[in-house]
Amino acid sequence: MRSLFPILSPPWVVLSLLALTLLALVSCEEEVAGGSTTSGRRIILKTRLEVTAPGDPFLTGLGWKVTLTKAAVATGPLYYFDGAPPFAAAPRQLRRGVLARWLGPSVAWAHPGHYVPGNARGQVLQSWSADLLAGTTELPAGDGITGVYRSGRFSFAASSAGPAAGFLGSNVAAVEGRAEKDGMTVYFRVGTDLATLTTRAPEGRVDGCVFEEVDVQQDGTVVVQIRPSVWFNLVDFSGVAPGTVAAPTTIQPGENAHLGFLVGLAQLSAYRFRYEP
Amino acid sequence: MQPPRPLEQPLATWPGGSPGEHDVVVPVLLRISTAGAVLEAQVEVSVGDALDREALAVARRWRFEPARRGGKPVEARVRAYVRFVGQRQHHHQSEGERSHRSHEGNLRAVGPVQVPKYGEDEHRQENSREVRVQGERTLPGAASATTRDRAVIRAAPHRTAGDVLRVVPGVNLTQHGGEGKAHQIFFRGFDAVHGQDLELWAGGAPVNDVSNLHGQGYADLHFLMPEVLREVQSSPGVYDPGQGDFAVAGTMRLALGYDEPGATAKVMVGSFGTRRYFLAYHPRDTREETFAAFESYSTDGFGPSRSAQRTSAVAQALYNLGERATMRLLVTHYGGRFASAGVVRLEDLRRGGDPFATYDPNQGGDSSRSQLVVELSEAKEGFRWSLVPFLVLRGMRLRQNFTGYLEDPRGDGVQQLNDATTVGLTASYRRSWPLFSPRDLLEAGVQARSDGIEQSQRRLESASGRIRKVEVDAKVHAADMAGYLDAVLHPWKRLALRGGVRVDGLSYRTVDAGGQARSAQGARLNRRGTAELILTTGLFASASYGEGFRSPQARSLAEGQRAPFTTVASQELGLRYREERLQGSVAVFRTTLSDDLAFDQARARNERTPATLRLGGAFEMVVRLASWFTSSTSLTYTRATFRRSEGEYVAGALLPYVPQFVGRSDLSFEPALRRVLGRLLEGQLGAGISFYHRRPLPYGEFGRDAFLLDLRAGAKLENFHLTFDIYNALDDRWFDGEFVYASRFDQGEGASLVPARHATMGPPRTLLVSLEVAL
Repeated sequence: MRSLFPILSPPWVVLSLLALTLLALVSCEEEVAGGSTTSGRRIILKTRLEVTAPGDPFLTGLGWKVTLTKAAVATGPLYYFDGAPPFAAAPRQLRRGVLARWLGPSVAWAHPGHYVPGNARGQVLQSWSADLLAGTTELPAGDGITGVYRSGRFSFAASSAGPAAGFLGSNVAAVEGRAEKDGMTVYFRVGTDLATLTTRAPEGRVDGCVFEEVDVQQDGTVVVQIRPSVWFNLVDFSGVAPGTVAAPTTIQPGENAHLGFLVGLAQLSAYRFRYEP
Repeated sequence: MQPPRPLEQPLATWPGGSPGEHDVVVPVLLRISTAGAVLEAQVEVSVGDALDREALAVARRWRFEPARRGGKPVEARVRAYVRFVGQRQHHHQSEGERSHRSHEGNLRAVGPVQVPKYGEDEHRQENSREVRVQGERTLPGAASATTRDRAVIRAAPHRTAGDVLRVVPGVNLTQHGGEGKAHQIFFRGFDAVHGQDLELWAGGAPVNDVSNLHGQGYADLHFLMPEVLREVQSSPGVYDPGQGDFAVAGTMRLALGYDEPGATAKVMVGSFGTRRYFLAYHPRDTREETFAAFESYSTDGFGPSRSAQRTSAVAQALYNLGERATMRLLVTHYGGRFASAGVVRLEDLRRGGDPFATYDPNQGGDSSRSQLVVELSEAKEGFRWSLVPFLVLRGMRLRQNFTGYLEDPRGDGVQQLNDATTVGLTASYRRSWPLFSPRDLLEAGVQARSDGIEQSQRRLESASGRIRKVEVDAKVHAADMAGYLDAVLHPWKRLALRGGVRVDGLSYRTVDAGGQARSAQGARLNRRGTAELILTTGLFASASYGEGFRSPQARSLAEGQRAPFTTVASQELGLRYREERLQGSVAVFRTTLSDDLAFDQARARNERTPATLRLGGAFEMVVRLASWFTSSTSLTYTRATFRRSEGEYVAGALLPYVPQFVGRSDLSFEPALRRVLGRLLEGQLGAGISFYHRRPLPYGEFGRDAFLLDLRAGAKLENFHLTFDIYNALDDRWFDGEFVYASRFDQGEGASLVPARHATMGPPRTLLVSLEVAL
């Protein structure tokens, strides 16, 4: 038997047993030592759109007091990146002590504004519409990976989904309200479709928005804060017919006020992201 | 009991053709059947692989008058010597005597000689001065070092010589870039990519490209045919002072030969428009190292953008120069062109997309290699030297697009060109150095290569193929010089110590297209050693330690920078068992790297990572129950982890992409079936089983396991040999490669930019039929 089946010879039996023992030990070692996976993980990121004090009037950069009665936006894909936003503070490790600032060599900083998004950490791909005066709107959930989040991309897209789709129609942003200044009151309606917006925001994107820096390690919610007041900072209502509550004046594309509105929609400061565990 | 009596014992012929000065005697254990045939032969005390093999081969042909008990034939075991007659003996014989002995058989030289126990044998030989053992000795080495010979290589079908590496324990191969791009090699916990961590030699010349633009150590084996591989030697870890650059996971050496005497013509046709023509010639009465072979291969491929063509020629000749010196001349030429389908996103597959589709049909490349190798060697009493100069000309063009339109809306296609000329040599001098024992040795060796490389990388527009960006345009000169000392000592009859030091000096000069030049240089001393203890006949325990390095990409070096080596330290403990019908080993190993490289999901290329650790175990065995059955089986487990936290890598987390369990089994049955038309009909059944399990991917995920079964069935009737090869017989929808990174193949809005899983699909079931005719 031994000669026909050399695998049963003593040395070989020893080797086989050793091999099996070894594999068992190594497998156990893995469980004991933990670390049975790679670093990082995929996460689910719910998304919520927020407007602070949505019904409150606000003062624009040109001195107009604006009160919104209707406001809606159609969001396109949202992306979150690990690249610092263009106007972010210097990275923490480069901050220098007082003594070093006085005694050490000076530091030359490159021109700001060269935004490099870096790597995408998270995203919401589905378009949706939101009534901004509702305060908060749940957007479709997104996905992402763990890591540091620093900046985001807000984008507009025509959407037939969500609570404000009917009001928006073909617009990606539409607002109705009242603007007051120096005793003058203008009831207005303003909106834009994606094609018109792309003259100020290429492809309807606003790149480099601030994402409050955070090291995301678990599922959570990304809150998208929209500040409609920024949209009106450069809108001069002085050339807009007053209109009435029942029949507000529609600001047409090409008018100065509409141009100011488009510029406002493309402002980085109109959008801000943060993460909540 | 009457012992067996020798009847017919053909002479043993010296490996290499030229006899040594003195006789060499190989003690063997034989089991003699009741018919007087040798059922089993086993080397009692090894005097070197080549001599052992020849001794066993000749011993198996001996015929005996069987042993008898009470007049009835019975099986018996005997100890005997196989004697290789040395020059002096030859000179004392007339030509007539030699021919007579050959004809009558070596009755005088061999009888059922009782061989003393190990140790006494050596002592007795020394005292009597009757014989002197000379030849290639098996040097002590790591227990898990293996050699897979032609019997194992031929068991299962292999498309290319690169495919043959699957028979090496611990190896997992993928070919994600098309039939013509170098394989991606995973070996004992290392993602060696295209050769970055695996030193490869073929026919005495290095295969790895230095500072290849596509990947450091790029090793393309398509210039060889699987038929001309004589054996594959694997040396995991870095325990041998002869191992140099790229030997991080280990070293593999491919020996070339072709053993079908005369001329052979083979035609192969099969699935997906595959056609292959193979011609070979091996002069009768010469060693198998002398041959010439030609191959022409083409296929339409198993899906879009998977066609390939290649043509290659290999010729090697072995000459005797005088009595003990030999010259080996090897010339190869190869040219190939191939298309590549690239990757598919897993989410597209889940949506029901065609797994064999391609996002960019313009991917692929071409490759060429021409080389000349001359090996001069001489073995005399007490010393052996060799000198192997080589010249290699390499060309490579790749066009690929793994990220679609992520970086640029015009497309992220990349064209890489890399042309290199390599000149180098290896030289060694080994002499007897009897400090403790006559078996003690000292070897000094030199290795050097110089590479002149022209390389460029350009980004292409997907639609037009026009260049949109020049990323690299450089000339690189790289030189690698190494010297080593390697000593083998036997302070005790059962203990062998082998150790040495090796110094590698690397220098680089890079000149960019604008003329700006920079250079860098570095040197590294590495220590290596093995202790091997003989536990009992055929059973060895060994402990090995070795230091190595990983060389840098030349383009990454700054002016005046000391070439920053990644330092490697390997340890292994193991047991090795070896006899004629059964060989095997079991080992635990540990390898640490001061820093590492891993595929970076953010940049979609290999990037530096913090220090890593590989810890694992390896088991392998080869069983040869009879001349018609061979099996080779291996199972390797490796746990590769980060040792430090840095960036996104966390200490203790697994290194992504490297399968933890890799198994392989090669089985071959070659029975003699029956006689047809007065000729012997021989059958052949073979199988190759490959599997890998637990392939970690980034973000805590694991890739898809694979289980592949390749089958071979054939019949040989004298000069005709018909073979059916089925690859992936179970038609497993397996992922040849898996990668996680951000891509954008959809140019519309709403494209996912988060790192996603991508796969390259492995070939489906493929049938190839070949008819071989011996002319």
